[in-house]
Amino acid sequence: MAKCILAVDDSPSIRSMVSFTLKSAGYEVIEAVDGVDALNKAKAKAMDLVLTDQNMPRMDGLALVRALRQLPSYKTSPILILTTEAGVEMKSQGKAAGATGWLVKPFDPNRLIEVVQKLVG
Amino acid sequence: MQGNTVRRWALLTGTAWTLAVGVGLVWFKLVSAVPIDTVWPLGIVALGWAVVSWLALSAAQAAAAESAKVVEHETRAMIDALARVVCVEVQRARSELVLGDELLEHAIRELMVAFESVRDVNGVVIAMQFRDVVGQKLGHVRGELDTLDQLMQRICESRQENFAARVQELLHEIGHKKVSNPAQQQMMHAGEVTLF
Repeated sequence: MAKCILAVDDSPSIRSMVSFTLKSAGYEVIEAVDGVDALNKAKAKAMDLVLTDQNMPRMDGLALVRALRQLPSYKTSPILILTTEAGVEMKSQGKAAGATGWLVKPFDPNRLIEVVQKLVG
Repeated sequence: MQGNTVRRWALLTGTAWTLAVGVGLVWFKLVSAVPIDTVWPLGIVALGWAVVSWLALSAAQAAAAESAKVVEHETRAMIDALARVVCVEVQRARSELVLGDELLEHAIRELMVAFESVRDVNGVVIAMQFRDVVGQKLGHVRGELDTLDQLMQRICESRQENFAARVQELLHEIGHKKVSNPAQQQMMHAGEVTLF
């Protein structure tokens, strides 16, 4: 059974590119438009990995990571932040919030697949 | 000399002059048998006060003129500081726009090259993401220009009195309002990956 990945980004083009990349590697991808939408979808179905943007309306990536880490089924699940923000301070905040990794946009599809395979197999 | 100092100086000098005339009158009455009319000492005291008042008035006028010069100088310095901040902000906004433009141009070039070579799907995916990077950069620039616009509007609305203090307050406020640039990419290749 294919592993399920939740791709969260307010930009439709980035969502479709992440989705296209991960689907081509055999993963099932569910898309969410922001943190609130992602949280609802993550509660409705257990995801094997969450890949989220940082700057989004309603709920940003860091807030989403914190909220997911409060849920018992996401205590140890891999959560990656995919963002344009490359600052050390932001990365530290991501780590403190409980993120598993920090990917700076633009992402290389091959590298993204490598990282996802390393985390969920 | 400050206004208060001038008033204090005038009061002390006038009082000293009155006391000196009084002491002189007593001494004259003790040492001389010649009768003296009280109108003369009163006249001398009044003359002394008139001279002191005139000097005090001149000094107060000079102090007011000096104070006005200081206020004018401070206001000019504040406006200069404001102009410098505006210039720096506009310069920064311009360079961000130029960089955004370069990123977009590069992304389009990359897209064209990638589309020509059908096998390079990776290149297409990377290039298309620059649209998002540029969007964030432009959003940041818009935010900076909005801040600048608000600052200028609030300065225009400020009253003439306490103008320097108000401008200083606004400059301090804008200094604390700085938002870091969310998209700092300078290079056109894929971003780094960090696993914690």
